[in-house]
Amino acid sequence: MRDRAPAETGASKTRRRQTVGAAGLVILLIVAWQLGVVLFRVPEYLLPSPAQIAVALWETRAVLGDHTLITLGEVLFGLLVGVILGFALAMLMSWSPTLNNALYAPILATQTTPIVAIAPILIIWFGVGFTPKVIIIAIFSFFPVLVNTLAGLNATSLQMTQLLNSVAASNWQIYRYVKIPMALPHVFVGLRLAAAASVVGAIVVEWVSSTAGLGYLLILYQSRLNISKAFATLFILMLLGVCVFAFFAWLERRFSWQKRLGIE
Amino acid sequence: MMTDCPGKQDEGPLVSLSSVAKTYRVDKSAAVVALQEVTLDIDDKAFVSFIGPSGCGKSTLLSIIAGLLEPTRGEILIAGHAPARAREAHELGVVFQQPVLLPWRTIRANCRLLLEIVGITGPETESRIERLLDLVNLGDFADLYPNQLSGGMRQRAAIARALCLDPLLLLMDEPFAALDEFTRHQMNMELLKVWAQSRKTIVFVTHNISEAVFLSDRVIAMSPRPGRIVEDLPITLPRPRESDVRYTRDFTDCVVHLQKLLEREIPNA
Repeated sequence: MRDRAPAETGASKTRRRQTVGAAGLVILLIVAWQLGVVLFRVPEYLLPSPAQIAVALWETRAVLGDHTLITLGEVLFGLLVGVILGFALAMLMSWSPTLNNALYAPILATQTTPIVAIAPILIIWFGVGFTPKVIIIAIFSFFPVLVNTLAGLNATSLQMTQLLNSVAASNWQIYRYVKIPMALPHVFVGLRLAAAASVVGAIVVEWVSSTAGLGYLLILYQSRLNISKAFATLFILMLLGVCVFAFFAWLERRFSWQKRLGIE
Repeated sequence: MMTDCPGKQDEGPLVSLSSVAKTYRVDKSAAVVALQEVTLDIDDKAFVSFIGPSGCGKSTLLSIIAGLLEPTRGEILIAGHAPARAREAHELGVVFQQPVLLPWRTIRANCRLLLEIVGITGPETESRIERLLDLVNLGDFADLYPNQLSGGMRQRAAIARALCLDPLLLLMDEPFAALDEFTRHQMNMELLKVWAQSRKTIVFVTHNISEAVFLSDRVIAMSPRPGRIVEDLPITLPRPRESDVRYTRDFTDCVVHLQKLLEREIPNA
């Protein structure tokens, strides 16, 4: 406790230095890219320069905005479904060994089956709209939440459970007071992985068949050999992924006792 | 027979075991006898230690008394009723080798955990927690988190937590085994102080002979394969026990006696 305050200042200083360093590296790469394209006269349809991408970004801002909102909606909704599904399944599987055994194989099957192969079937069933996209994104994102939450729920020691049993605590009380809070750091790891997976899921399903969204736009620009605009779309996509990821990282900093207490 | 009112009986032992046995089935044909026919009474407010090498069934016996494990045969009565009833009446406090504190709760909040679970909260319990933390010398550390305390301090917090519900019986399963020798002795002294002030019955499991002799009114030695009682030794050293009692002839005699006995029981060790 006594040594904490100066240690924390040191840590934040290190973090700032790291952030500055990372930003510097990115800027350096962009400058190198621009110089490389100009010096070696690389044609735009092969590799556009950062400046050309910036122009494309500005020109297509309205279209990009519309399609970003569509993809973002799919990602958020699919992620919500996936996270709830993953958490609920983890609770059920941790609660009942029978359910654990029964659900193990079917859940594994959802992950070993190539999603690209399922997508056309879902599109036949549900059309090209919102529903199949949410389903695919949920399939992509529930698994990391499930696996990590389950590991977290099993992290409570036998002695801790016995301690609670010694005062005749109910099973639900054991979950509420100990197992669920104990699982939280694991849950947050699962959430971050799910966030990254959800964006991938959204693009995959938009590629297979879609009339809107960033994945659709990407295919459209590529087929027209409008590589600058394709890169602009890619840039927005990357930004979207980073934002979703950052949101969950913020949630973790805000709500994880492990982060709050600085326990590794 | 079961009494209707939970609480201590005026007459008779607090804990009574009759022909308690535990067998683990390894597979269809093989079984391991963890505990063979144990019959024994433990007096109210006594300090009783179970001692023996790994696998002698002492921890199994403790788990059975706590009602955390069902015996294969036999009957256990705590204050006249079954361990399950004793748990519901909050008559048991348990302390394990690991302190098992919740890392996201302060020491004070960790002590409050069991009270919250049984639904007893309020200003009165807060002052009780305060008193118990003072008793185990953690008064100044009540608002720190477990990761900010040393191993010995965490174990003291675990003891305070076990006392919060004012149990009749404190069950301790090798509580100081993970601590270094000096901290262990310091904890022994403090435990005796806690025992003297709270007047609980303590059942203490250890594999450290001198610790058992130093603390107890009675040391029960157990032997493995199959787990059984081989000696039930009353310790008549004067109370309150000072550190120096460990250098007396009587103390050494008890330790040597138990040491020889247990070494004879496990010739290959």
